[in-house]
Amino acid sequence: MKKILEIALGMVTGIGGFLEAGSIATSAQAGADFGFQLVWAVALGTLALIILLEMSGRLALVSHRTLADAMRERFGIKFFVIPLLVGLALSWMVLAAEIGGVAFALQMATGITFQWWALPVAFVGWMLLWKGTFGMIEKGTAFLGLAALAIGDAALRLHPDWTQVGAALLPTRPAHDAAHYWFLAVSIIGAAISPYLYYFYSAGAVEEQWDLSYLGMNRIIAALGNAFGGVLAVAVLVVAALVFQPRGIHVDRFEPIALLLTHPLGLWGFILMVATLGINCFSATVEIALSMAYLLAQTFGWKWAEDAKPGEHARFSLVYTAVIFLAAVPIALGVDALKLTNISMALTAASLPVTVLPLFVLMNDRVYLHKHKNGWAGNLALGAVAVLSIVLLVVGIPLQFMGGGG
Amino acid sequence: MRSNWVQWKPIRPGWAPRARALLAALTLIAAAGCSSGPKQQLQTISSWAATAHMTADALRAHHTTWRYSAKTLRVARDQVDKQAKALKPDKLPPEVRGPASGAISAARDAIDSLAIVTERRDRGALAPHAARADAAARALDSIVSLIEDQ
Repeated sequence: MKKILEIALGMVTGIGGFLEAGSIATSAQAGADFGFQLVWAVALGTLALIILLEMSGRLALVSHRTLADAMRERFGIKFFVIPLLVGLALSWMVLAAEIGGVAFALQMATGITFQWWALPVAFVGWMLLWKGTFGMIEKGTAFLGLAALAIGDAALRLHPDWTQVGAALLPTRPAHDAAHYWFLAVSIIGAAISPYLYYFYSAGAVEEQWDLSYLGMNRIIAALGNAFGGVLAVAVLVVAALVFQPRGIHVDRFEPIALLLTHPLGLWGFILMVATLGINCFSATVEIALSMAYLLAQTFGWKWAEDAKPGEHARFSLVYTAVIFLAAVPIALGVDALKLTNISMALTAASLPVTVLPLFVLMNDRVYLHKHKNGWAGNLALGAVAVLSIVLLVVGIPLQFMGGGG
Repeated sequence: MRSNWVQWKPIRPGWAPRARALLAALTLIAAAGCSSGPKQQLQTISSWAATAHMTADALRAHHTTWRYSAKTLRVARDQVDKQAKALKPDKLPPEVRGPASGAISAARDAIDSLAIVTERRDRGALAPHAARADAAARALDSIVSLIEDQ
């Protein structure tokens, strides 16, 4: 019974982890600009995330090391400094984008310009990290994020042509704006497989003291939780395709996103969409700040645990305090949060090889995984993700340069 | 909890600085890579006119709040002004310059009127201005299609 409850909690957390500023914005943009055509990118990103989470969770529960710990230990600090710096820089950009997402949700709710909300959002996020426990942060915010189910309800009420949605699982060439189409595809995949997700997931597995008895549950949580999140991201795309595309609305800023559910669900659609954006971005905000603190603490061998008193792990607590307030600064200064989201998602996609390739080596290392190392199927799946990550590195930045994100 | 501290054994230290330099270069390229042409500027103006139309329709149907609508219409007005200022008419094909200028003015006027009516909280007065915003968006879409056809 306890395990079933933990699986249910894991699935709920999966929605909160998956559906944040990046995935909401990129899916809405994809639906508004290209109809159902980019469903394949959401599906591919979801599948890749499931593979990466299952493996980083398995690595953590078998070796009792987080992904960052194992990478630093196996490859040495001179190598690990690359994924560390890339991870910190991109996480900071994504953190700023998430704070922007919450600030925009508060603007939609109150009419007060988003800049004014950036520092208060950072303060509330910091308070939760300072006073809360890992479980409270992970599950509390994820439960509130269930408001996102309204998006699935809206997609069903709009009666899309499911044959067309299913057909879009296979990639097709766009009829117009090819650079923008491929840039969005890269951003969608980048939003789905942000490295902070699996650094956070593996740190959570160690913090919650998962052992070998969690092998099966890790698999179920990684697969079902993120599949559920992926379905909701597809729902955002489907609703945007049916509501925004016929009206010629492009999602250049966050403001139109509040209108996404008003057509199928009326005033409740407005309230639930604003709540979904605010809660899920807030959940991502605290998770990313925590993930950055985990990453630095695990690199330098500091004491770390979200469940301990901040004074006991002072350097760990100082990191999340500093990053959350520093990330609020660009939003408080009026940086375009949606543009920041798009750029950070594309850069995230381009940076994936620095995490995925070392993970491939680790998942085949008997010292860490004993008999639970990857078999041929695991290697095939992770190999495919590694190839995908190299393709994203090669095409992501040139697409941005060609104006795909403009 | 303390991480297991194992001696660092760097593998292949030689390529790490090169990878760092490559990453820095890629980041700089990405930062420089945002551009928008006149077609995209017209599309953006059209999109904001369509957003203003939908915002007004949702407000008329009691599906959004006055505060959200007023703020969104102010943003729409600012975005249309920004794009209109940045647009260089000489970069448009000669035959669409006149219609584009007219449609941009119509969009701007309609969004202005919607913003004023919303500030006054006059729900009954929204419909005609929403229809004007819709017409301006459609006119701009036709112009964009003409440019694409060329």
